[in-house]
Amino acid sequence: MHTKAKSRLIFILFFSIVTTAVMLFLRNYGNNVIFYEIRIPEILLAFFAGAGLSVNGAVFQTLFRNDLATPYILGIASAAAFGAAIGIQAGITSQIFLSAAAFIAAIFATIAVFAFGGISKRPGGLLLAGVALNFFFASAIMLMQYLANFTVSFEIIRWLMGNLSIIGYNKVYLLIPTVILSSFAIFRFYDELNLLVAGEEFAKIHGVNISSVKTALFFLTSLSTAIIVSIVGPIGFVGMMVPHIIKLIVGKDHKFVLAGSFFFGGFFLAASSEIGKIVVPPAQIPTGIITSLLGGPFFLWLLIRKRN
Amino acid sequence: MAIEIETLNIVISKKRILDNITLKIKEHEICAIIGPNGAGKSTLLKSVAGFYKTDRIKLFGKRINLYNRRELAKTVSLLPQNIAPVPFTLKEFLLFSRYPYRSLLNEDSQAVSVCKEIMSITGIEELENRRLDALSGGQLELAWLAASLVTESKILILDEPTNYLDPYYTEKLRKIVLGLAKKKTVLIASHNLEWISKIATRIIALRSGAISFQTEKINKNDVAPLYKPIKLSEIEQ
Repeated sequence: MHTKAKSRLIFILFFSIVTTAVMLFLRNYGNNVIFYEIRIPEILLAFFAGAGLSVNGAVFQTLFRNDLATPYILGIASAAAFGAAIGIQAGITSQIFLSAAAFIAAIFATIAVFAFGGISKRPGGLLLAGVALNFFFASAIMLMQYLANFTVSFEIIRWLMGNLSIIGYNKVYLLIPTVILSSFAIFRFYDELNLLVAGEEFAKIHGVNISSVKTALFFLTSLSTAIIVSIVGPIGFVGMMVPHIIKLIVGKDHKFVLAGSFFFGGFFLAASSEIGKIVVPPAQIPTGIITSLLGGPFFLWLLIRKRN
Repeated sequence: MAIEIETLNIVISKKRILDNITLKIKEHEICAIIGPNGAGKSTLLKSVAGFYKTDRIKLFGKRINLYNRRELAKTVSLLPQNIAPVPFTLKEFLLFSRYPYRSLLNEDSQAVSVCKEIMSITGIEELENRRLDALSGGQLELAWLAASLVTESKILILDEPTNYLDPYYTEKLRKIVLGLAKKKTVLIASHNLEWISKIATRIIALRSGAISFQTEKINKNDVAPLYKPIKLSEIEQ
């Protein structure tokens, strides 16, 4: 069983890396500046954002024992979007400051979810606190859009749709170390996550220190999600879809699920971003729209599959 | 002495679940806890498994709060009442359950041989490559029992183990537990009095969080009042 999973994982790694590399050479138009200043950074950005979102999704699905759980349900994405919206409204044009605003809001949301979820002391308290914050920030963004002028409102909408178009490496330098380090740290918990599949009681009986493992995992996933969202916008559904696809291929052992989600998630978002660029040229469809268009039917398929 | 409990009180949400429990259980005893629903059986079992912070319990002479989680898992294992059909093969499930024996620096060289031995003790070798979510209720119970045994703990706790079992598996479980008791101390909570009377060396009756009586054989006259409806005033005391 394990050798089968291992060989399938190796195939996924190979497939993801090769196809992503092939994408790199599309649409270069033989121009070195385009290749080095646009193609490489945008593919790297998409790959590592997708990798991080997918690993975080895989962790949340196990922690909440819910197939649909991703860090997005904790309201972190909405909070980051709210932060960026405030930045846009305040007339900030520098992308770095805009990211910082989103990041601060996302971190604030993470702390708030922990504080309220912890106080409630009920099972699912964290989840409920996340859902509540999600609604709150989504409404706050709508209010802001309603009050804003037409140009600002359009800018906010464009950011909310997820944006992977960049020039240069500034954002990439922040994103890559964050995603690699957080994913590596999360990977060290694969053993504990496997035991958590059978429930917290089971994991505790078998020697897992539940509270410290959960705190570490929530911190790592929230931090990584916050930074990803602050850079590329709230791109949904990747974190939900990719771990499911990987589990179907390599089984449920988290050693393989996490590694597979990282690479396939990277490929998946890079491919979604490319599709958005070639479907209706010269227009570019925001990546968030592509992933959501795929995510909706996937969500329904999951529901029907569960029923069967 | 395997388990020593001294004036243990457990209060959850301002409600006293265990009331002044004092109990000593020797090594290799099969000790059954009986009592009506809400008597505190599961809470007592969980206390011994280290679920609550207390210094009123000693396992092999060492206070339970002085054990770290991995040490505790090697000392005491619990087969919980609610078992889930997890999406792993039996072999994977048992290997994962050897968690207390491995760390980042230590590889568990015994894992495969111990898991094989436990599968043979519980008679489920042929299920090795089957996924748990494809097993019957009886097979699933044995798979979870095996997962409790691979930690090689000296104390085994079973919470209502016969709940979902048909007569065949109930009898099979009895034989397995009797075999295990040669090497382990066993603590069982159950409503299945007939099964208990065939297996337990000592029976402890709980009612409203307190020990009502202890006996070596179940006597109908003793047991009947134990299961009488509990009055509200009795719980609030």
